[in-house]
Amino acid sequence: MPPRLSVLLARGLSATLLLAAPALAESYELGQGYPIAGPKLIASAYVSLRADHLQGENSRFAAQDVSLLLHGDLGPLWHFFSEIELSNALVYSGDGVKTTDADLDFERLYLDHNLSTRTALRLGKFLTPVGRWNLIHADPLVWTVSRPLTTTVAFARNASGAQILGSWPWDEASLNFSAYLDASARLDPSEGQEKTFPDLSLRPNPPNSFREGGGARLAYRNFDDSVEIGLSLARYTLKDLPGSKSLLGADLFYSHNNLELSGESIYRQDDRPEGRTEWGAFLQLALPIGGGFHAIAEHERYQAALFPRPLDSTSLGLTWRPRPPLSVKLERRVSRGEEALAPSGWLCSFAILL
Amino acid sequence: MFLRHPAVTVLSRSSIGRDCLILAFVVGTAGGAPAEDGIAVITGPIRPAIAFNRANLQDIFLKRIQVDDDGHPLQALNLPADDPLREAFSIEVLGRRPGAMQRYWTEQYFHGVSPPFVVRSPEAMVRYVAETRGAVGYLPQCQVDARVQVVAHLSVPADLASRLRHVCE
Repeated sequence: MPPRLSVLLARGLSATLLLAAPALAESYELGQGYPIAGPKLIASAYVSLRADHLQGENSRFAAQDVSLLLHGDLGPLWHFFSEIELSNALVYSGDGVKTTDADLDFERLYLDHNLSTRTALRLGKFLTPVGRWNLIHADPLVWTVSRPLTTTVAFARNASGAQILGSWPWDEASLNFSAYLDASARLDPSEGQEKTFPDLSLRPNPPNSFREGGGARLAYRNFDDSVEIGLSLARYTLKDLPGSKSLLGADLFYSHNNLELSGESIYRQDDRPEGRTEWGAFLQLALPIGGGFHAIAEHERYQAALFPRPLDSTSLGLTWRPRPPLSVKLERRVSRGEEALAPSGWLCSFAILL
Repeated sequence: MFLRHPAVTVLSRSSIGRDCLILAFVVGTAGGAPAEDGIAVITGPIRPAIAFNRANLQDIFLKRIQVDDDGHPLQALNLPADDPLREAFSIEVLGRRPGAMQRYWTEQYFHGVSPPFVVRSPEAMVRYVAETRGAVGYLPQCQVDARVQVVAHLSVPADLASRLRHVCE
């Protein structure tokens, strides 16, 4: 969708919903958005700046993501959400300053309809529910600058179509589920701009988007959300890649006194006899060391179907998160094997959710 | 399994975290015998069509439930984060202190879900709940009046009960 149309959409929604704004006034809090029209229309944004110095790549500084989030209620049963993302708006590297890599896209654009107290129907473009990371992938919300390949390469990060999602109590815990059908090839002509391995100059590097497919995720969360265990299933075809893929994923999250342990794994099979399997797993530890600082350790092993050797990548980092919506990160990554997929080097970022 | 119109249900929690507040959670109808101390969960004169058991109450305050069984919107309300009543309610119902919820709400905000509104005082809570269909709040039991109805009751440990009595005197 052209940017001009998105501006008109935002203005139209703002004007419509202003009429329904209640009297309750809310003060602004960092990371929780700004009410444009009371609680009926809320705007927010997140900004991520990134610098990296990686082997085989030019040193680079980039305004990585500038995202505008807009959401609100359309009556008692309908809710809309949009995220417009401008990525690589400004990139400084060995070639000087560039703006030609800039890409403006609707990262998410959907309507939610409450079918019952615990079940909702989602229509539009949404984050693919595979694992936990993809659902909270914004830089201010994750501990590392780099994103594990396990959370992004084997499936498209977004799906367009319909999704059913809900939450059910189970003893004192809850079971959260989502199931979706994707028809990106018909519904989202803008798909295909983002690459499977973004920001890297390696080949092959096909588009990261579905043609069509479907899947589901089931997650267990305990009473205080300190434990989450998820299972994801999907079957789909990808743009510019032959064959149908079947994916199985598992994810784990555990937190205690600000310590966090998380991990994900995926296994993807190709239905063609000549098709190669793709698999990967990572484990990440975020250890609080005081003053809002966390020491980060992460290891990932990944076998991409398009490359002959597996990658082993270890990252050690320091993340300063004085408040949850704000983070400053420094990371040293050392890779072995198919190193081009995640080159060794230094990465740092500043991110804020407004 | 939910009880849509429970008579009186008593649930107990042995411990929550290191600080181990031991509370009893009593769900009853508005006509149930009220306890003198403790926290009353309140709605306006039109009671939302949902059972106010602990699982539902948790999900209402986590915004995982946003409408009742009849499709009317629900609106959870909180007292300020440093209010001892808010802290007791948060620990019992959500399993965490208010300060520990910030990460949860930051992640939820990324999905377009904002935290419950905050009202400045118990009186503001009563007024907002009484005038807003679907609003769900909480008060010291002794501050409940005829403008609102009690849909659940949480008993509290002796030290907090003493502080709540002081508030009511």
